[in-house]
Amino acid sequence: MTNNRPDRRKAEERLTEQTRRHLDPVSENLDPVIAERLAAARQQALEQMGRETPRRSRTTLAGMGLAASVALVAVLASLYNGNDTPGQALGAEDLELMAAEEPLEFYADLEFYLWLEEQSAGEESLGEDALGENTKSRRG
Amino acid sequence: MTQRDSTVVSLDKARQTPPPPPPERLGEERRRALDRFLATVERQAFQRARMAVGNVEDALEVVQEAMLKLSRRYSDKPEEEWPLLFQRVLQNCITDFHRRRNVRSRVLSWIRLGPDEPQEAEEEMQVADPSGRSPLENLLSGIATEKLLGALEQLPVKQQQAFLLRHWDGYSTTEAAYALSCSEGSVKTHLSRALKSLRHTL
Repeated sequence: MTNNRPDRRKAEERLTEQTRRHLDPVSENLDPVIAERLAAARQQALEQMGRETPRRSRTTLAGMGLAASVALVAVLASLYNGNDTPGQALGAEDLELMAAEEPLEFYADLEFYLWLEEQSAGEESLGEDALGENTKSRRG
Repeated sequence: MTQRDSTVVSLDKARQTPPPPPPERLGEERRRALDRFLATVERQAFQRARMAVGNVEDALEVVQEAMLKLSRRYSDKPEEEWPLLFQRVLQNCITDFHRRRNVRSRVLSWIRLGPDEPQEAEEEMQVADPSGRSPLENLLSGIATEKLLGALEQLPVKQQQAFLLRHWDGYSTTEAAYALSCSEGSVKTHLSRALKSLRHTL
């Protein structure tokens, strides 16, 4: 096994030699038109030396971050607005509570405020209905 | 010592230690060095890219992209790091090209053109002994260059690039692994498969 190593290395070196013998002339005797185009590409690259453009990965990451934020907001909004699953809605409220700046007393009386809001909204709609009826009757 | 004497001494000191060149001159020197470096590697890079992508126009585009990236991002790196960095950038550009081409062809025709490289448990594979029935040293003797080029073009890209990095550029397995962004075990596997295919084709 150990005797094979020098032989193998020699064989590899020989293979490298032969590969170069075949391929080096191919790149040395390049079509002059292609050689010119390569030289032009090189000059163009040199003009951009050190002018690093923002990497696509960073842009992609920023885009992904933005998309994730929008998705999170959308999910939270749907959880907050839709009362299909009370457990999830509660989670959204908890999150909002954690993020809000109102004093804790406000949240202690939250149920009362919600009830009050519902009551006043109900009264307003009743009032509007009544007003609508009155207008209709006036027009009539 | 008078004020005039001290001025003369400081002037003498200034004459002995030349001031560092201004930044714009440093930039110009760097630019010339990068120009020289790219001029030495561009033709070989083009041939490698041509074998990998299969045509002249795409190969030119790939090499231009690699040169731009090296110039933009790595021109401030030490010059001795440029060769291997360039190989890595070039390899990434080739890989990107194949990804784009695969996506484009899938979208346009819904036909998969065949995998670029089969997914494999490379580290678990045994590396074949290259000094087997067909000795390595006889592999390329007495064959036409055109035939070798054709056989190389037939190889999967990673095998082809591993072979070229190792046996044309003369990089070590470790360096080839860096350029190909894979493990040394993967390079050995790619090489072993490339040699097996070349033996079969040639």
